[in-house]
Amino acid sequence: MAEIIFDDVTLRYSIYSSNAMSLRSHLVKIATGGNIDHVGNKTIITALKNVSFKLTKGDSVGIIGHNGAGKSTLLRTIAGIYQPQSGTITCTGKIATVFEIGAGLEPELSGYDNIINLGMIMGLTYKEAKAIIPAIEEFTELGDFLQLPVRTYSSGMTMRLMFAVATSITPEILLIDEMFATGDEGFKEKCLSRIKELIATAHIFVFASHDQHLIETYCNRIFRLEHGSLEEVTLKGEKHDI
Amino acid sequence: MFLKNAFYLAWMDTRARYKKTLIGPLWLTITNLIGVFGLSIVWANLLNEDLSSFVPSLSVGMIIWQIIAVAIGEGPSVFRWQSLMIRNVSIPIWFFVARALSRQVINLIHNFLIVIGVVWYFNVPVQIETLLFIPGVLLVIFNLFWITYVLALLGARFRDLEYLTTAVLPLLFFISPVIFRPDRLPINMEIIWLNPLSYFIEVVRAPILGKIPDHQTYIVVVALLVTGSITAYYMHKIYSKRLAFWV
Repeated sequence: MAEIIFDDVTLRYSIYSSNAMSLRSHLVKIATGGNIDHVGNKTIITALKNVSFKLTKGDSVGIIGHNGAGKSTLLRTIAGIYQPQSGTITCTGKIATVFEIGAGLEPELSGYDNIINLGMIMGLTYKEAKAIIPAIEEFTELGDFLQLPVRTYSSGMTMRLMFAVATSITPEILLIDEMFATGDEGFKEKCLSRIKELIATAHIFVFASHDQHLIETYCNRIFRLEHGSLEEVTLKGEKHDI
Repeated sequence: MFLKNAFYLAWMDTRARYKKTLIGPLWLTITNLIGVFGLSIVWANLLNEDLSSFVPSLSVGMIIWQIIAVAIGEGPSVFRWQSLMIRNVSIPIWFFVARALSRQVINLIHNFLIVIGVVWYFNVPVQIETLLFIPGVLLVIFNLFWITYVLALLGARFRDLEYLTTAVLPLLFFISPVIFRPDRLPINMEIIWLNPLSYFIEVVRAPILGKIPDHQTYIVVVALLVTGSITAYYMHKIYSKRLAFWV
């Protein structure tokens, strides 16, 4: 049973300037008795501010917001990559993510080898990873390209491969960050039906995008992020009464 | 299970690195073979050593030194190289350390061919004590795990560290008994026994050369393993949560 509950989650992180990253400035600090404090080098960013929501099976959520509003951060927090400073996150269900194109791919190896690599990074055994190959061959329609090194792929082809692997392990929670930009129409259709299938079998889908039309087709709930604060809106962009 | 996957992925890394080369990962063996061959001739003459005892000692020393040097040299950049993965998939971060170290173990296995060849060529006697090298290698690998882990965490936060370790490594090489034999040292070179890496080399090399490593060696190696692992564990508890923001 897939479920995500965010309760008053706040996420802050520090951006270290190159000076703060260096050992010397720390040593100097020790040597001078810590009097010189480079506060100016450390910028603290509040990426998520008191975010609360609950997602249950069948929820398909579109996240909208300006650049830098915290969309990707929210997705990474759901995935457990970022840990919040305060608030609690309850997340049950197997998660698959498609965030940055090319993550986990080894450009010199063939598509087939990379399928196994990605599968094993997600925790499959070698046998299980091998078993998902036929489904991916069929879904990506990459044909003989799968025998070529991944560095020869276009970004659309890379995206096909990553999406196919991420969804082939039948995740209960699928998180996708703005990626359909590179797919052609035919593949978008396929993704749509695959996502519909996933939602139909009691799964959660969270999708960050700027594309109003895509959000309307894929999603039944919409979250709007603004400076790290989250509010739920209706499809037309009005505030939602909860 | 993650460990098995880490090893498999390390093997794929190695394969990817030597893709499109004719003899693939065997380059690892050949590179070292040439190194051992050249150094043997030069140093055996310079130090007036007998080839049949000097070459086995040097080759084992070189190979163990190499896994140590690469683990320390690459340690601080482990997480930085894997930053894309760290920011995209939620997996325990020791997995990346295991993957990096597995790659070194694969190199070690390739290099071990040289040791076998040298032992065979110079008729080094293989006795029951020789098998003590196996626990020796394992102790070294476990120690390198915490060393890499600690360096990787610190290196992700402080980018200077990777240049610092690269700068210090040659110095460590000279105070490690790789080229010279510890029993041939003048008394004022006892300083090498202050260098923990000397024990790592000794715990593997002595058995292969037919000697049982003394108690002191085992005590130091095990003590390092215990204290180091505890340090790594606490650092993991404190810092692993923040790693994704650093890389």
